[in-house]
Amino acid sequence: MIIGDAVSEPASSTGKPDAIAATSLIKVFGAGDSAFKALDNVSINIRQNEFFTLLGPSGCGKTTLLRLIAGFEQPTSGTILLNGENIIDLPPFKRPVNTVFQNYALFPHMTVAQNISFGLEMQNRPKAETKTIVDEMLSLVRMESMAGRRITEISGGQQQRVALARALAPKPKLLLLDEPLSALDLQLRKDMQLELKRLQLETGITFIFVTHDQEEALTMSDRIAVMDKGQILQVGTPRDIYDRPQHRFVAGFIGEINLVQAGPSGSAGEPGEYAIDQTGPIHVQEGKAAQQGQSVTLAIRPECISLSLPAEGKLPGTISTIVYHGTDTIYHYTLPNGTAMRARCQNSTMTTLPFVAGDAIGWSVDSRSVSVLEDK
Amino acid sequence: MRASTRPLVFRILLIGPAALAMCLFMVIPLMLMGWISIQGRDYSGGVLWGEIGFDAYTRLFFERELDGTIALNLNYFKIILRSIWLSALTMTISLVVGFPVALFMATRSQRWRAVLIFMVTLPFWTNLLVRNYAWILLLRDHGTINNTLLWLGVISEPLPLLHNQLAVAIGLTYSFMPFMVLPIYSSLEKIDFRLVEASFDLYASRWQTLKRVILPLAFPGMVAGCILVFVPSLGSYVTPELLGGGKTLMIGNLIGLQFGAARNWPFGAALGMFLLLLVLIALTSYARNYRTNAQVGK
Amino acid sequence: MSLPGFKKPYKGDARYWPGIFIATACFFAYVYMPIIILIILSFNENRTVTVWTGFSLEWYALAFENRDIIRAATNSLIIASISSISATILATLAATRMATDKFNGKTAFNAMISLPITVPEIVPAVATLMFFASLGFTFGLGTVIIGHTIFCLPFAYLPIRARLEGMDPRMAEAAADLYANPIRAFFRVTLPQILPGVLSGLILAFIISLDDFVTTFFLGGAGSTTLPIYIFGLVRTGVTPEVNAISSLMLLLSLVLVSLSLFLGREQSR
Repeated sequence: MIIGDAVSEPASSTGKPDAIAATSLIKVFGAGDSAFKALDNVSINIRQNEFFTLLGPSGCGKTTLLRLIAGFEQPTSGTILLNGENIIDLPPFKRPVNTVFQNYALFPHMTVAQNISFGLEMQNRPKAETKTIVDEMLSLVRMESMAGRRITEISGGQQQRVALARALAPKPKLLLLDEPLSALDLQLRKDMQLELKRLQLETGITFIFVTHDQEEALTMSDRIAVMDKGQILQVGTPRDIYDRPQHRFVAGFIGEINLVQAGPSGSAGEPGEYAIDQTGPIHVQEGKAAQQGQSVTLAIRPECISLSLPAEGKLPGTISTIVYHGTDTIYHYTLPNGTAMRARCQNSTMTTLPFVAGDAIGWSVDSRSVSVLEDK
Repeated sequence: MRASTRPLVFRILLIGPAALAMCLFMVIPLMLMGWISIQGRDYSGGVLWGEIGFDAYTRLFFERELDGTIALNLNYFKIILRSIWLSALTMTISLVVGFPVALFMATRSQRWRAVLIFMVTLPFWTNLLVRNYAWILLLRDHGTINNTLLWLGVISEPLPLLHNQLAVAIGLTYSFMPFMVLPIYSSLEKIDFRLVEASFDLYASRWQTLKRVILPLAFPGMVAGCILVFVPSLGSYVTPELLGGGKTLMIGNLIGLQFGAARNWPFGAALGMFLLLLVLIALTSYARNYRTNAQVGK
Repeated sequence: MSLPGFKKPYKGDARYWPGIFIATACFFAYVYMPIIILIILSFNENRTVTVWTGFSLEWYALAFENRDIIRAATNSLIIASISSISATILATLAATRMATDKFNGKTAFNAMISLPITVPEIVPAVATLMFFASLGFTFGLGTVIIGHTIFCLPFAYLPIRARLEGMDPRMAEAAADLYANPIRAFFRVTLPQILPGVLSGLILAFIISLDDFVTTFFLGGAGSTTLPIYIFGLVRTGVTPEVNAISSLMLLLSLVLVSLSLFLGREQSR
């Protein structure tokens, strides 16, 4: 079990305080028998100007964490610092944080422009300044011609952009986005992902983005926190998370993964050397030495596996199915001990593997592409 | 949406006035009524505080004769029984007539439904007094019905249609039948008529389908409608007052009388408590059968 | 959309049930006939009311000249206005809070506020009578207004709450997120959206107050006669044509107001 503290990165070295420094957050809903722990001792550090994503399945606590930062809920215990200041006791209308809601929550009785100017009006800014900012926002999200339209008259994608503009207009220190793209269809979604990334870079505002879509997280984020059951399991760059999952759940949640049981190779076992049912060895870079009798789980990405004819030094396997996917081909094969594996090989005219179902093959993987997982 | 203890103050501030008003002018008076029902009677109207006794309650069934003995007096009890009987009758008739109407409404298209709902709801919002008065016009000795029958030669003398139980029953059904239609409609409206088609497909006749498929699904609405008709009928004041003459008293009139000519406040209070009890029984039997429905609406 | 009486219905039609059309027609005839007859008779020239001799507006004219009627009508309007406005304000405040937070008093409050609709009117009417008498109040317009406000509360409350429940709860959070304190959030975001419900509740409360008899009867005193009380008094002593005229007017007023209220309530379908 990984506790948040051990995972979060140290504060940035630029000397500026973290955008968000949350410590030991616990949130319990309900009481007694029906008590539900939405957040279990969560600590996290989010840096200035980064695009940070909270990723996880439904119910993992990511939205709860977001709402704690926004101020719509109070933590049962723990602290939250925004730019070094404690905001726990501030109600949401006093926090310089704005939210883009999942279903946008636009005010139906107001026009596009009125929605965008709402936050500015509540801050009592002079009319001229408000007008300028609203125009700025409209062109930022490319909705200049829609200023006077009623919310009910515009499409879902346009509503989404208005919600964004409304939240960005008051130039908050932090922008929270609660699965803002989930209601959009595929193409629009992809377009908006790029839009959001561009906006974040242009405005320089720290974005905290919540999603359950791992592809989305990988595409847009500077760093990702993977959450499950109220805990943060791993924090890192998309690359870190994908190439080096440290947790069984993280490995399985992001992309496809092969999970293999392995034990120590040989009697004394060299550091980073494992064997799968006495076959192998399979090397893991930065692996710890395996102890006698210890069993670990190795995580290997399908695209990192190379297939060839059975040979010395290669691990044995038997092809079960071959599935053609256009850009690549997936070879499903089984190990002597029955474990199902899959290898993804890119199709190019130069490398067409001559296998058919039933063939014996040898497989190998680069030591840098294998991760050792702790079992949960 | 809350931060620290602020909302508690807001909460009290906002709901406070309404809750306070209800407490002060509804809950407390009702409790006071209970208290008064065991106080002594001031013959010139009002209450003699401090003379605790259950005279008011025993009065329901017994009478103190001039020589001090206690005799059974069922006159008041008869009034109570009559009220229950008339209310039950009203409820039954409303159910029998209201169900087909609700079924009709539920089987129309959206546009017609809106019109029908409006037409059923409208009478509810017009003046009850006026609506009952209209029946006086119809039921009088030389009212519309008698005049028409006389003119047609069907009868030679006017029928006594007013100031009796018949008139009150008509008035009650007239006043409260719409309350039966809407809840039943609300239940029927939720029925997917493909269930009916499935039933036909499986060789059930119309009658069987009605009995085995539609009625069970409409049951919650029917029960709600029954309560909505029974309870107000039981406590009805205007209808028996106007259409019953002085001879067909119901509990409501009896209570009102104690604060008027009869000048017996504790007795009136006791009757009020009794009526509340009857209502409570009706409501709890409903709530116990349909716990989920009890949460909805109110 | 077809009326099944007019075309031979297909036997397998799940929506066709024999007899329901007749039943419905009878039902509506039963419900509306007395009212229609009353209105027709109000134009009857003849004083004996139920024998039609000719069309006349005489009774309406008389009604408008009658001092007592004017006074009663004025009282009705004053009472209805004050009661409905008070009830609506109380109800709006309460409904906003009820809809946003979850807290324990909710069911109790809901039960309490629907007391006037669940309990037969005579009971709270006499109970309040005894309450006021014990406190030494003088019975008159004031006591009637208080009684009406209480009685109208649930009618004002329910449409507002219905409207609130249809509203997105995130709306209030969005307003707070955008720096609106609770008061500003209420006036700029919540109120505009529940306004149709508030108006609908106001009109319903107004109608209920206007039409009320029992509470007014028991809580009233000298000088608090309303139209229903007046009509009742007249009917007791005998049927007169002026009563028909006033009654018809009251019906018409109810019709207009109810239509208005339902129309406002229907705006909701967004």
